[in-house]
Amino acid sequence: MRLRGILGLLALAPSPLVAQSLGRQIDRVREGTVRLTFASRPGLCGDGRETIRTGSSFTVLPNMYGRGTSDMNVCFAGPVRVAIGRANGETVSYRVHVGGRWSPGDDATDLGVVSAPDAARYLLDAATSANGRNSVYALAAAVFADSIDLVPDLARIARDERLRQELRQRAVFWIGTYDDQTATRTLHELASDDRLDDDIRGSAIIALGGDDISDEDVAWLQSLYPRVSEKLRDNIFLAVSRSDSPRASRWLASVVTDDRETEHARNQAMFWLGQGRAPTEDLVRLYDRLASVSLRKQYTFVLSQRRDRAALDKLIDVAEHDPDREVKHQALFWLGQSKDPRALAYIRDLVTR
Amino acid sequence: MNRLSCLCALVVAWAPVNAQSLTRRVLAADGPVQFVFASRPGVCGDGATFVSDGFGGNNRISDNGNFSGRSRGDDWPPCDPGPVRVVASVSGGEILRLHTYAGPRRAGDGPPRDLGIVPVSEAVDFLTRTIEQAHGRAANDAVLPLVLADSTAPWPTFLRLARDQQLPRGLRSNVAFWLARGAAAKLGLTDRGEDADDEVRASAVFALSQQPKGTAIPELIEVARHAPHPASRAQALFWLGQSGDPRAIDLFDEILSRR
Repeated sequence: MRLRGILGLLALAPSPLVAQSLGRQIDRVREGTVRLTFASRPGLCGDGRETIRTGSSFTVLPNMYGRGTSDMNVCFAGPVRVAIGRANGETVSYRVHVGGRWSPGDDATDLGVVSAPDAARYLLDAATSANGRNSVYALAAAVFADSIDLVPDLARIARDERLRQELRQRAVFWIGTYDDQTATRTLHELASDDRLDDDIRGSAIIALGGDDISDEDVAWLQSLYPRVSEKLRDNIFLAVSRSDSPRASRWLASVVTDDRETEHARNQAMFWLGQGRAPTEDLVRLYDRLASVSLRKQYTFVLSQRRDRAALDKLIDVAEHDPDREVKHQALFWLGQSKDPRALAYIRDLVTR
Repeated sequence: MNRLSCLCALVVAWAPVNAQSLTRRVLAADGPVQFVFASRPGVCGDGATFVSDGFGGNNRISDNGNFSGRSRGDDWPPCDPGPVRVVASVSGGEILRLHTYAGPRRAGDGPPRDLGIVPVSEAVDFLTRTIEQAHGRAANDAVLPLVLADSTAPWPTFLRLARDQQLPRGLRSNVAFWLARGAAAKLGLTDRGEDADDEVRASAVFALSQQPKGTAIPELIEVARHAPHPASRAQALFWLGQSGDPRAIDLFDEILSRR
């Protein structure tokens, strides 16, 4: 019993291996691959290869990232697995997976399960010193780690003009995947900071616009809207369109119908109203308030992207009754792109009646 | 009697020999060379910038003399009848391009090497060979003057070419365009409508053409055969021509073979 207690204490104490810094262990491998495994953040899952999802955010490393649905059939909650390629004593590559397991039988140096915060710190440093895709992989691996809040570090990366723009924008994206008030506040600070360029600010605005965007964030973005560039206004439309709140769709519709807004802004607001979560009925009602021909032409496209019955009915209605010939042509064009049999039936009737 | 037989033999031998000789004469030297032949009734142009194919409607064919563009409009200069003039660009014993003009000849038009007026049959033979044998753009260029030639129907040749999967897609597409145009002319249809609704119907026919092919082709064939509006039928034939679908070529064959 006593022996067991001592063994237990020994197990809890740092082993000589653990005492070495993770960096030194990796540096000891001059050629080959180093593997490490660590616990992932709650809610994170992956296909064991390049695709990783957390909430509505997903990334396909190294190039694709965003929000939305993915066609992943399976998503394994599971440890983060990082393979670090070494040559001549330098790190030359990172590969990151969530879920799955290492394939047996190769001669990689496996460091086993390491502390997630230790790994995150190491990989965060690596992200700011690595080049190109390696920095993207390293940053992602750091962000996937459990039990560490990286939001302040990510904000520091986002603001650091010495770093590559792509890495800075990725850092902003990853802030948006943390579901807490610190992350939201940080995104507000980045979005409203006019010392930052529009790409970073725009990334922060878009990061606010998840499917779970709160009414408070919608209101905050509305208040930001008059003070920002046209480009950032487009980003605000996108972010607000992710809300299913009637307030959000009312605001987008109000921009569409506001004569004081630029034509670009009105077109963009309508586009995002159509792309977003507002019910089709809101779009259908909008038509009667569209005086401009160019807006009504854009309206036919926006309707065509909805792909539901109410939108198709309205598109047919516009083709049949709009007083402007160009709008009719545009509506017919989009009906021609539809696979709905009712669209075909209407077109056929129009030609032969 | 013997002398008469010789004359007959000479007459029989004349056509192919001259067809070959036109090719030989065209290829005799590098640089531009032109020849002229009779045009079909209705064909007109300004001799320099555009031609009209004489199939009805206000379509003019013009693209700075390359005739690859087709536009519609009323503000063109007068379209005067006249012969077809073909200018061939020759380099290294190969025909690189053909430029086609129609209408009155003006002083100073054309290159210094001028083969003069040639019989239509000779021109048709030369152009057909060019389509079948030339590479690249010259083959495409030879399609239009064949359409404009007098006293000859290019359709059997075009139907054969349109069905030949070995030919480049661009050439088959060009030929199918003219088959559609010829079929519309045969039915007395023009794609220019008489009323404002025709324009909306034109958009609708285009919309039909944008449906998946399995749907679009039968729908367009139905419109081409039975729609009550002539302009819609012509537009359906046009989009069928653009499709290059074998069912469309069969329809053109059927229409163009009618007596």
